[in-house]
Amino acid sequence: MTLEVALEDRHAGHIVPATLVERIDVTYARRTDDLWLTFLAAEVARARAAATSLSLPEHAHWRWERKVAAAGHLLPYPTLAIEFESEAQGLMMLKTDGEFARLPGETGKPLVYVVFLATAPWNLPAVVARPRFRGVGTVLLRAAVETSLDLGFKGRLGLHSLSQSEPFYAGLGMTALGNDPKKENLNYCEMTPAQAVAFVR
Amino acid sequence: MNFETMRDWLARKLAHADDTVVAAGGTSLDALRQDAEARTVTPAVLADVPTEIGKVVRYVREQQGWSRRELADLADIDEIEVVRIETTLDPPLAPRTVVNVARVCNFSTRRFQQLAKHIAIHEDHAANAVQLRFAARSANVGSVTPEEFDAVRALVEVLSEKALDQK
Repeated sequence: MTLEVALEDRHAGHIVPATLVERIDVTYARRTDDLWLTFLAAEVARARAAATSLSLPEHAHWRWERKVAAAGHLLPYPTLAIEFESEAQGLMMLKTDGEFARLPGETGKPLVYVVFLATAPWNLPAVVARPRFRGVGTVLLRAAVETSLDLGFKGRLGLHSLSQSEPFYAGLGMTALGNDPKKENLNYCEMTPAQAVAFVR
Repeated sequence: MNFETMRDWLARKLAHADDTVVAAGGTSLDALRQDAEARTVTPAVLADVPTEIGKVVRYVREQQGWSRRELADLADIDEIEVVRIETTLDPPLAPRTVVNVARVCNFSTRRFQQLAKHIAIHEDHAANAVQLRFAARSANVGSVTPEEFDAVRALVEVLSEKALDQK
């Protein structure tokens, strides 16, 4: 299923219609890897030719095909995509069972866990001087909150933030619970039902 | 939700929190694979299922990681029907239930109906019929041997052959 959503096209200077795909398959993930990794390789080559180098975030090298192949066939592991003109601008894998809140007052209540979230390389300031789209993470997290609401989890959401993204999750009103040695020492962030209501408003 | 609503909402959110460098992760591919594998079917989960039809449904359900509720929703049937298939001996199933469950489990409707004893079994298939009738009535023995587990897997494979449906 697909839904009409929106993204900010920073080249055009306004918000444009985009499409949310609710579950992608391995073929889709492979196609997206081809697109993203080829773009990235070209930018790396360009930087090298100009005698500079790019400082790339780890997730720029992710192979989504492997992630989707590992768990994408299971119902509780949907991978969502946001597209503009049929090209994936961002991907997010969710886990919708067996994950529980850690925040005081919410402890033990079920939540939707964001396993992986990343944007296309042409949207990343670390890769290009003028990133194309903004809103990828905002719209995908909105979809994660809606999934949580649909499941009766009241919008509760958990994720491990890559270090450069922490200010964004704080800006959404998520609570950071500190570095988690079980998850590459990344900062665990959680959204409460009240924070979810404020976010979708 | 329409585009205009989404556009206005996104503009408000982006003004408040810039998402340019958003990313989340921390789960290794190995951990992901381990969790997926932990959900694959083990003989133990089939031990309490009294019928072969129940075993194949339970097998596919476990393999897909579906709860009974999720399978019921996908097949557009009551959850109690799934419980009945998986836990009762000789379940009285509505024809619609059988057809819908076959569709969701990606089984040949014809073969699954046969297993559920919902269609008359033709004389020509007498040998096959005996086998299926036996299979449909096999009682719970409290545990599943590797041979029995293989037999269930083989039955799932047979049911997944849909060539008969095309005719």
